[in-house]
Amino acid sequence: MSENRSSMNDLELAKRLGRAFAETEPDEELDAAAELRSVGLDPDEVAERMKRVAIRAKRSARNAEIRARLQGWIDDLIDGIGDRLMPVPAAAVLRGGASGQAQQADSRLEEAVALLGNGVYDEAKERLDALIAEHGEQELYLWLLAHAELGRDENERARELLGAIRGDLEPRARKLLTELD
Amino acid sequence: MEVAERLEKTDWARVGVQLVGYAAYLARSYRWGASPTDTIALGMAAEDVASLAIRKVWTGERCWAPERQPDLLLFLKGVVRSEMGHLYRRSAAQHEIRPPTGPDGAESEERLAIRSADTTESADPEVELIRNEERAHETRRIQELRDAVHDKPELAMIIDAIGRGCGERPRHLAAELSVSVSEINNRLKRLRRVALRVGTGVSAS
Repeated sequence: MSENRSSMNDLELAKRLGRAFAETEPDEELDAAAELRSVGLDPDEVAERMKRVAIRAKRSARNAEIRARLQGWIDDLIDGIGDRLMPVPAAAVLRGGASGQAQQADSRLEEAVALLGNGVYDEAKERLDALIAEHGEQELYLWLLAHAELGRDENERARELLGAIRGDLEPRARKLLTELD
Repeated sequence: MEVAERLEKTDWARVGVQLVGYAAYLARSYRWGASPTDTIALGMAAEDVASLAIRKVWTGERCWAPERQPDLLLFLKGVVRSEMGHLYRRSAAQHEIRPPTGPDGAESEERLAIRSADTTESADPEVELIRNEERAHETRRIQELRDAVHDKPELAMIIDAIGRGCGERPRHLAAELSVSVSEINNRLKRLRRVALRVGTGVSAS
């Protein structure tokens, strides 16, 4: 064949041959395990790693889906929460005393809602954690905190919080839990 | 059944092994043609590309439509092939600037002459030394391959056609050699097997 030598250099010819080889499909009965061993990979270890890749990919896909819907949920939350912000200090005032503390709690609650609306989930969680530490696990705080946790990709924690909500917000929490499933 | 549900029920250990095996097959082909200084690696490239394909299918970046391709593994193999091609082209681009090809994938004689001039001149002696080593290495390998197929003219014709600037796609080779695409595919597979045997210095890495 030497009389028909190529007009390109061998470096280029090798590259093109490599590309031509890559155009072929392996036979149907490609022995994947043997192929892996030929490049120094252990098939059992590859199987384990690929399982983990799929689990992580699934989680990541789920988180992305939740993130895409989260803003809508938070908009609903803000629309439905306006009438719940004032009664907290008002009730505290009616009970007598502690109005300063109640107003402070209310202002932190408003801040937490604003932070949620602006997508600043870590700081919203800090405010809500502090409110819960001081005032207990009120359904409104849990409801808001669940949204903050969703924003932080802490979906399991969000589920726990939603599952713990009792009272007026329970039906909405259950509905959101269903949507998360 | 929804796509997510099908993905959920997939045996990822089994599919993963098949997919990485397939990616390794493709990587070995590309790697045979790569110069010794190319960075494309066999094992890791194969596994990384397979992982990337799985992630892209899960996130929907690569949209699997079971009604069009019911076999998920086949669909994933297509994604791997495409991603591997991108990876290879990126790796190759670090070493050369490829001139554009004609509509049939072939390069003109003029282009080949320009490329030849491009690859023979360098102001940097170190670069020139590396190029010389690469050239010597490839010349040896190509000669070994030619020697190995000297009694198989149907395979030697493939090398010669590509050497003359024919596009490396099976349909280009089929047109150039006036044989069927399936015949070219068979010849390419046979030539690949020979090449991997003679190119031991590279194929075993």
